[in-house]
Amino acid sequence: MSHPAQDLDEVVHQRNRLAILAILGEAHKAEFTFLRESLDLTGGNLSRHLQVLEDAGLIHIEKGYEGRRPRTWARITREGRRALSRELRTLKAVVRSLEGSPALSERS
Amino acid sequence: MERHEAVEWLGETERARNRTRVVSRRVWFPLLLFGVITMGTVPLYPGGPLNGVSSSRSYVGAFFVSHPERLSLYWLLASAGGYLATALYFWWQDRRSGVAIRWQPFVIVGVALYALLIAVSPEGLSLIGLPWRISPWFHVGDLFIRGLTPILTIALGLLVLAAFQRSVSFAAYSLGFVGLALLVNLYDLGNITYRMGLGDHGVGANVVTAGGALLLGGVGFAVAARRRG
Repeated sequence: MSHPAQDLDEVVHQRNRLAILAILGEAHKAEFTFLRESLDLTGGNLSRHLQVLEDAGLIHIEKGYEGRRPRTWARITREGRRALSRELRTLKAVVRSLEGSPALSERS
Repeated sequence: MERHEAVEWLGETERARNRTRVVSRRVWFPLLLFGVITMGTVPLYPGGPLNGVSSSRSYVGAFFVSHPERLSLYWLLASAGGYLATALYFWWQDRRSGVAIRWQPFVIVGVALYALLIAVSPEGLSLIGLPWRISPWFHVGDLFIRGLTPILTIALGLLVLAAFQRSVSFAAYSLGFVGLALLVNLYDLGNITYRMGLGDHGVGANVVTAGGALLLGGVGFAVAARRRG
């Protein structure tokens, strides 16, 4: 039987990218500044994560202006929702599979 | 991946989700607004048992209301204002908070149902070139007798909003309110109070109950959003 951790998707299995998907999963779309402040990331760092997620087809980026102010909104795609729930399922399976293991008991 | 790491990630994900939910909770606004609008119609509905039939009719039905034209005009203007104010408030909140919710279906469904309500009235059918005699085909059963159909349009709009909100509590509230809207439209709360020996308080009692449910819901969701924020 394979270990549940083998099902983890490399794109989603990254702390910040998982949090980005989790935030976007709760809203219709979220603005760049909200994501940056919520995740305590630099603009450049967040941009790179968003790019990876967009290249994988998990989010959709909308760039526009409000007056003279540039605004970037990110929206989760259907594939993104599926990837998010897969990752959460796998993480829960990892927790369950290692529950009660002696090594972990020592650690905690 | 180790267990403690997975637990930590799951916790962080849940916290990120909660933060977003708190910021995006704003359903209290349309509930309070449409609660006030509904309560504003109370003086326009009869307060006692139904008797007599109005000579003129209106798109909301209201066969027993003495001035259905006033009632129709009030509902039309207040609802239009209500949907516009809701759209503006949600649009402004989306931009202010940086988290946008799907509020457009609430406004679209509300306005579309309202337009349908007007279109299938005798006056509406005449306007679009159809014989007014076919209007009874659309005015099913008791639905149009009491003139409370605008409450049903509000309820169905809220149900659509709930479908996009991903909130179990709001979905449960909206379902309950649709049930109440159907009850006041199709059965009349007066029939229930009469059977219970509490007397018939007229159509006005239905309006107060529906308006009160909207106001209470609005206050409840506003308090919940404030506490979690």
